[in-house]
Amino acid sequence: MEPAKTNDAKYSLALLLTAGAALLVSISCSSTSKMAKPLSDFSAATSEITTVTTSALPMVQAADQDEVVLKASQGTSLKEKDIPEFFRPNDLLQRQLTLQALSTYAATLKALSGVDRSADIQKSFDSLKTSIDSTVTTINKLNTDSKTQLPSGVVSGLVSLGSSLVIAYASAERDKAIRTALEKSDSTVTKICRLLAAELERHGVIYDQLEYAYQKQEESASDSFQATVQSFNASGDSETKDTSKPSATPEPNATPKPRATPKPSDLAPYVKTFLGLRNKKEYSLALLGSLASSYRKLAQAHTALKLQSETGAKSDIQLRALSSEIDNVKFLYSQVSK
Amino acid sequence: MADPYFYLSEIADSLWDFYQDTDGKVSDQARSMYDTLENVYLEPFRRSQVQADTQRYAQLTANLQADITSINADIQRINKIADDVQKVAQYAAIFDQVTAVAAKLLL
Repeated sequence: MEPAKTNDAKYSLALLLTAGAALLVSISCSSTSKMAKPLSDFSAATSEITTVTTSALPMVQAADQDEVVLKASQGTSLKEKDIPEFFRPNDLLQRQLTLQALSTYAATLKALSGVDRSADIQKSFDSLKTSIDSTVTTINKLNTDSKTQLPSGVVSGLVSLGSSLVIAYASAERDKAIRTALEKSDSTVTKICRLLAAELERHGVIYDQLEYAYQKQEESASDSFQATVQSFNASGDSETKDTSKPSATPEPNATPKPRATPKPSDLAPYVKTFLGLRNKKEYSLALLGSLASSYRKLAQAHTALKLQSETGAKSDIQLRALSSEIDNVKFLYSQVSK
Repeated sequence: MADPYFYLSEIADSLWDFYQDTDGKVSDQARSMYDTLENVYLEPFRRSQVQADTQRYAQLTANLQADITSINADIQRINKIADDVQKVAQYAAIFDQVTAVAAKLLL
């Protein structure tokens, strides 16, 4: 083969390799995962819900303890069985650990979708190219018997193609890992979310216990209010009786003394307590209900993300619904923690 | 399947509303029935149910922790691809230096 023709062939090969590398970059080497944004949104939502739930559970425990104190104060003995706790230490701990695991899981998925070492890989290949070019130049300088010089263009093309292939491989591995993780964990995440929602929604055990705790406290405030009213009535009656003492037969024209009525300032504290309890009850129960709804939507969003990773179907609707519910949770939590 | 707890809770809610919306003897009766229903049936059930759920949470958390470990292993594996390429580049640089020294000796 003539040297000119050989050089043309080498040049064409180098061009082909470089074009192939460029094509790979454009069609398959998108270094940012398509799942990065939805998984980032999912992680932020999960973090917010679990943080509020972590704060809400001790709130339930505190309300329950207030109710237990009221109940135990009416008893005749004080033993451990008289003051049962709704959340034992392990009950609260396991729920907190589950919430923490859920948040960590979402954050780890986000981290996986954000794994992007394409710049590092490109840098390494650039360095590799420099080294190989330098080695080729050194070898070409040597007085060998070979009539054909080592072509640096082909080497550059091969290195570019190698770089693109490795970046594409890393991206494909990352997307496969995301798909596998979402598929594998979907059942567990759904079960956790359903369990939390079942406990936090109306007629769930935590919701009902909180409602009961506040209702018992309302009863107590109502009883205190009535006792104060009755004590005033009783003192009014006794005063009426006292005035009839001096004469056994009261004078026919004598006007009976009016019953003593409590002043507003005597009753206002009880009304305030009752009102405070009622407001706290309403907002706390609304918060638990909203959290329950959030967990149901979190499970739906996770399943939608799983489908997105498999088929490319969008998860925007589920993520938006979740975000909207979180706005409710934030508002209600701000009212409860006032 | 019918859930007895759900229906008993509905009855308890109705009794509470009745207690709130009426006065006198009827109100006292509704309150007494509400207290009995809560103290005897509903509250003990809730306490035992919370403890039963705790076992399920423990199991599910263990499963999720295993999944997190698996995802972290994937992150490390994918990062290792870039690390391996970097090593190849380093070896190539060393090879180039060796070749340069060898060439100087030959020339």
